[in-house]
Parts: sequence; structure tokens; C-alpha cells
Amino acid sequence: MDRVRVDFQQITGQIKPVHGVNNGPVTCNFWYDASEYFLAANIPYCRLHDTEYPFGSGEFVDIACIFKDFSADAEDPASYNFTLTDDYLRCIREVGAEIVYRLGASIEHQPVKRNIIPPADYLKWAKICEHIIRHYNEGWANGYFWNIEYWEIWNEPEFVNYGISRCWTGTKEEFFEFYRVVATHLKERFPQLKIGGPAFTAPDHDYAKEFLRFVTQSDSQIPLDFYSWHGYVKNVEEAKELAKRAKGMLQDFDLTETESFYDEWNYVPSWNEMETAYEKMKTAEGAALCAGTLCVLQQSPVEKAMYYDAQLRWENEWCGLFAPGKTHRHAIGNKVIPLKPYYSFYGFGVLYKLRKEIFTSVEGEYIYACGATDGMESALLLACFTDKEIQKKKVQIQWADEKLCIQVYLLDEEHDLDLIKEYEDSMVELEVRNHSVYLLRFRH
Amino acid sequence: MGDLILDFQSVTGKIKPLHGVNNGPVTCNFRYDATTYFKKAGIPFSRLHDTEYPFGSGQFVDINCIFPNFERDPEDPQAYNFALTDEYLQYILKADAQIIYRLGCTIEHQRSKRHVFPPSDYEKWAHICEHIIRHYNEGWAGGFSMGIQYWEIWNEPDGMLWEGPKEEYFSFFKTVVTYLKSCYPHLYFGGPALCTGCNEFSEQMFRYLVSGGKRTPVDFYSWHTYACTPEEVVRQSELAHELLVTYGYTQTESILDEWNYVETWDEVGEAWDVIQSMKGAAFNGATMILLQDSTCDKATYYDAQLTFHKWWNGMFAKGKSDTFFKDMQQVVPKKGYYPFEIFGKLYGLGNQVYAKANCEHLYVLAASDGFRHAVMLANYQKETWETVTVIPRLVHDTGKASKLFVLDETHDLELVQTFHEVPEQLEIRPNTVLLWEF
Repeated sequence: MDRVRVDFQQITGQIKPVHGVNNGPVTCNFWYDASEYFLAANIPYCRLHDTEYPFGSGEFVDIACIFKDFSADAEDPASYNFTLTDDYLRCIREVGAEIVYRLGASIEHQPVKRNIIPPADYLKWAKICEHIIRHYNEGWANGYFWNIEYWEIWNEPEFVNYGISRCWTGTKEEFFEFYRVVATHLKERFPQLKIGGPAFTAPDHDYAKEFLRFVTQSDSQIPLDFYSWHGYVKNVEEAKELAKRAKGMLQDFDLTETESFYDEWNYVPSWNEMETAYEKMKTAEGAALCAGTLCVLQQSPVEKAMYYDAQLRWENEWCGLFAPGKTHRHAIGNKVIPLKPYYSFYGFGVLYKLRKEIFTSVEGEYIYACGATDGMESALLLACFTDKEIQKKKVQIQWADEKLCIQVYLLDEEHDLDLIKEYEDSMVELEVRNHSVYLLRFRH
Repeated sequence: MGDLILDFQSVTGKIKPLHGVNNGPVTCNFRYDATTYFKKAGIPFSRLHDTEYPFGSGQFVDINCIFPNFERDPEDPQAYNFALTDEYLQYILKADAQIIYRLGCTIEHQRSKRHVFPPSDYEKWAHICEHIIRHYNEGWAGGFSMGIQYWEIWNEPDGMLWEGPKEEYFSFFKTVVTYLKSCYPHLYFGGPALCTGCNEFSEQMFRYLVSGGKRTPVDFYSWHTYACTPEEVVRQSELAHELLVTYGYTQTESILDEWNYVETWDEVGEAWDVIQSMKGAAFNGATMILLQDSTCDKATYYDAQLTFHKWWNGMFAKGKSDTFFKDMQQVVPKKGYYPFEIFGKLYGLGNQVYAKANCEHLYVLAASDGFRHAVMLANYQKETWETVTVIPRLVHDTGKASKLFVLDETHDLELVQTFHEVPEQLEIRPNTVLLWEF
């Protein structure tokens, strides 16, 4: 029998905002609204990248959307197109999520590239970013005081797929210099904000090492308040390993104050079987991967994480959280339907609301668990995930003798985190199947 | 039971290009490719509107995508962003379709409007269009000689796409069409892609266009219909025709450049379900058949782009690809595509010949090139579910074998029978489309 030992009295830290997502609750040019589900899951961060893909639909978030004509005057409010980005960000704020704003361009898969070419003038580009930040944080150009703290410079500059650059057509050296100019300018202008990036496809490849060497060995101080990186994983262990390697890299370069952001992740069993991956992302198997990953990220050296992707694009491939709901009126206020993996985020959101992480230890294979308490109530998220065929297994959750009121919620093929049992006891014994997730709620 | 009378020697006219579509074969930012099927169906026209929705993705077709900063000089090639529209249009030409280029912007459903406002300077806007046409037809700014003939001014100003008084639209239309016609007298300029064949807006617009003693040139009048019966589509066509006759625009072409199945806009999700079904396919077939004998000159179905593959696009589904953006993915045809392929076969034969079926629910059209003949039959029923039986009567027997292809729930335009003689009767199940080739 596998065992999960819990100590409700032993606080081991804070529950971290690792159940963030990419993009906002109201998507597809405001057709679909997932706000109620964002609120219910206490989604802590929305990272803005590939927002309203492709090209930000010409209107959203990307620099090329907000500042459409690079030859225009960066000081002139009339040069900026904020309208729909304002509306988009407002929807995020209304669900209580914070924003990580990626300054840059959406990924480009089409043969003729448009916005992923190195800007003609890095400093001018930095000044445009400065004005965008001023618009959202200092009210410039009829703007707001939203205090958006995290500003990420670019995304996946090193990503080459089938020999084609997808996010930065320039050289590595050009990117480093670009980062230096932009990060330095923005940090000088906004020392209180967090400036970082560059959202690498992995935390510790050679490009990343050279980048961190460049940042740390430069004569001038190049800011890197957070280091962002990505990883699409086959299993939970892989996510855990990536988080460890990212922190190791930061330590190697003595960047001990730099936060580690895992700001794109999802379940990809194989990049050569993408149709299968897209399907699995939306299933109980995907849900168990998500819950297991959230548990291990809580216990790993990563500060924040964001799942890719919560937006309902027309294609909807990467969004394992929601599907389009039934449409009545054309293009107006349509609801979404939560998919299985959403409930894993909801479950972690319960822990996040309780705030204090409690001691948990797992004895057994393929079981991942994480617990939280606020002193009155406690909760435990438990997932069973492996890509192997395994038999149903017994898992005992043990704590000190105290008898508690226990609610058991199950997420699997047949259940959407449904309450399946409610009773009083001093331990819990579960028959756990592969690709299932449990949320246990305890009242003290 | 009724008679199906066919006379392949009695030519009644030309088969019209009614099997056009909105948007091109390569869509979703060049991810999905329907070129094979565009060619197979001989899609005659791709109308460019709502291309790469929303907002033309900031890169495609719309004036605000091509000329993103209205303050710039329209004479300056640097002020234009043609790159991805160039690519998009080249794929249409490779699929052998002609282009109807809507000069304007995409529909905007969001609350804060962006591009559906009257341009601040109509003449400048017209100059920008002049340069776009020069780019595509006369090689300006690294351009092409595409010979695009049809240029449509705006879309649905009587609907959600004109945030100004209608009188301003009339003035805008007159300014732009008059200017462009003076620049390119050999091209066709028209519009305005109204929501219906005739309404108060169109009446007032044409009154305005003929006022003051000088007639504004309108080479084609475009209008839309979303309906659940082919008869309603044709009724709108007749209204459009009457309007043109009333105002003396008898040489003006009538182009139905958006059509599809909608029963009620209050439950458009249900319409999308029908569009994806065999019932939707039968509607497509019946509508094209009925339009052939109407006053409509051209038609383009809304919409063939993959962006709307679960919504307005009843023709194509996404193909599968296990690689991540390695190559373009081929689309998979849906039921709704095949009536276009059937109509395309008749269009290829050239001449419409006499065909009549005197029984309810059955729509029939026949074509011939003098040697080969084809008959398109659609049993479309909105509410009922009746099998139709007809007795085929050939006025002039071909004396040759004929082949029957079936499109229904279980067949995707498959050969189901070869006749060596004219069959005594044909049974056509509800929501079925047949191609009978001689």
C-alpha cells in the first residue's frame, strides 16, 4: 500500500502561484467568457503571449499591434492602439488575476515573417515599451494605474523548428544586445518593476547559458528580475527536473535573487504525435498530468508557472481547460465548458486560497500530493499519473490521530471533481486508478 | 411520384458561376490547404471578406491591415503592408479561382469598434484603394499582374459594419466608386454587400446614386442572404433585381456574395449544426440549383476558410498532422463541400439544358457540352423527411450508359449504380444530392 503522510501542524511555506495560465478569461475577440472558472480556480497569473493568435489579430498585446507603424513618434499617444488590449486586460483584472505582460511578438509559423524580425532600432523599441508600461501603470495616454509588475522581454528567441526560426530571425548576439538595451532602459525607468525574460524553450541549453553569461558578465548591470523558460512534458517527473535545472542554472550564475518562471507548460507525450497530444491534453490523463505537475512545482524551486494555453482560439488545440459552449446569439457573450484538466487547476486553487503549505510526504510510485491549510480547513490534492499500465492501487493518507470531517472529491474519466464521499475519520484510504485526481478537504 | 423530364439538346442558357466561396484555399495563417478541392470543384470565385478573421489578423486584405497608418502618404510604397496578402492571393490564383476583393474591413463583433468607422478622408481612402489595385494588377510596389476584375466597396454598411449615418455611406460609396472607375474604367466596381437583396438602405442608396442628374457607376450590386429555404434566397435575388431595374441599373450584375443556412439568428448555434450536416449539404445543393434560374449572376458561399470550420464553414474540416507546423495540412471535405463539386461539373459542361421535376422537395439542374451531360438533383427538406420518387423521361435518349453518384449520410458522392438504360424510376431519400452523369 502507498502512503501519504500529512502533518497539518507543520507549515512548510506558502502555496505558490504555479497554477497561472497563458492568456485571459475572455478570448476569441471577446466571443467566449471563462471568467467564472478563472475566479473559481483562483487563477493567480495570466501571462500574455500568443494572445488572440496569430499576430495578436492585429489588435492585441503584441508591440506590432499596439504600435502599428514603427516609423511613428514613440512619444505621441496617437501612435498607439491600446483600445482592445485595454479591454482584454480589464477582463483579466476582473477575475483577480495578475498579469505577466510579454513585450514582443506572437510566434510566427507562416513562411513570410512579419513581426519576429529584430527591431530596426532597439532603443526606440524600448521607448515604445516604456510608453506601454506608462499607459498601464501610470495613466499615460488616457491609461490606467494597474500596477502590472512583471514585464517579460520577448519569447523563445532561440526557437527553430524544421530549420525555420519561429520567434526571432536575428542572431543570438543580436538578441542579447536587444535584451540588454531594452531591459536596461526599462529598469532605469521603472526600478520598482520586475523586468525579465526571455522565455526560452528550455531552461538550460547552450543558448540559455550564453545568455545568462552575457547578462551576468557584462560591464553594465543587465537586469534579470525573473528568468522565464518553457517545458512541454511527457510526465510529471520531467517538469520537476526542469524546475530543478532552471534553479541550478541561476545558482551557477549567482543569480540568487532572480525568480524562476516556468511560463509555458503542457502535456506533450511526443512532438511527433501532436494529434494524440492535443487530444490527451483535454482528457483525464491530461488532468492527472496537470495536477501532478502542480504538486511537484509547489515543491520545486520555481516561483511561478503558467500553463499554455487557456485561451479559446478558433483552433483550440493547446487549450485543455475549456471548450466552446453552446452559442445562441452570434458572437455575443458565449460561455465555455470546462474540460477535465480545468478541475486540476480548480483543485490547486483551493490549496492556493488556504495559503499555507503543510508537510506531506509520499511513499509510493506515481503518486503526487500537496497540502495546504488556513488553520480551520485543510486540503490535499493527490494525483496518480504514469504513462505505464498499472493496476488500481491502495493509497492511505495518514496524519496524527485527530478525527476530522473529510470530503473526498474525484476527478477521473467519469467524474469532474465530484464529491464522492463525506465522513469523519482519522485517516483516508483510497483505491486510486492511474490518471485520477483527488481533492480531500478536511475541517478541523 | 412525379416526372423528371430531361432534354439534353435543348440549351436554355449558360451555367453561372454560383459555386464561388468566401475566402481562399489556404487559410488559418497558411496552416490548412484546400487547394485540391478548390480545383476539383472548379471554384470560380473567392470573395475576400472576413479573411483571417478577426481584423484580418492585422495582416490580410483589409485596408487597415494593408495601410496600417492612415496618416501616411498613399503614394509611398513603404506605407503599405502587402506581404501576407500577396501570399494569400497567389494561393487563390494557383487554385484557378478569380478574386472578388472587398475593399474595407472585417465585421467587428466586439464592443469597442476599431475599423468600422467612416474613414476620415474618403478621397484619401480611395487613393489607397487605387494603389492596392495598382499593386495587384499593374505591378506597383513590387506587385503583380493578377488581373483582378471585381472590387467591392465595403461590406454590410446596413448591418454592423458602418458606425456612421447611412447618408455618409452613400457619399463615401459614390466618392470611392467614381474615383476608382475613373482610374480603371475596364475593371468592375460595386458593392455594398448589403444584408439582404433589397431594403430601405438600398432603396435610399440607389435614389442617392441617381440623384442630381448624373448616374454613379455601379458595375455590380452585391447582397447577402442567410435563410433556411432556397426559395427565400431566390426571393431576395428577385428583390435585388427589381431594385436594379427600378433605378435603371439594368446592366449591373447581381452578386449574392454571402449565403448560408440560418433559420434564426437567436439560435445561430443550431444553424451551425445544420451547416455541418447532410441537411446543410442538401440546402447548399438545392440553393445553387434554384439560383441558376434566378436573376442572380454570381454567388459566393460564406465561408470556406478553416477559421470557421465548426461554424460557417460547412465545406472543410481540419486535416490531421502529427508534426508541429512542418508542412501545410490538407483539409478534409465535409458533406457540404460535395454539392460544390457537383455544381462544378455542370459548370464545366458549360450549357444549361432543359430539366424539370414536377414533385415537391426536388430541385433539378442539367448541363451539357453537347457530348457529355450531367444532372444535379437535390432532395432538400427543412422539416419533413420524405423520399421522393421520380420517373426519368429523356426527350432524346442518349443510348449510352449513365452513372449515378450519391451524396447522403453514408455516401460522399460515390458511384452507386451504372445504368445501361434509363431506369424506370429514381428514389431519392430526403436530404440527398445526386449527380447523374451521361
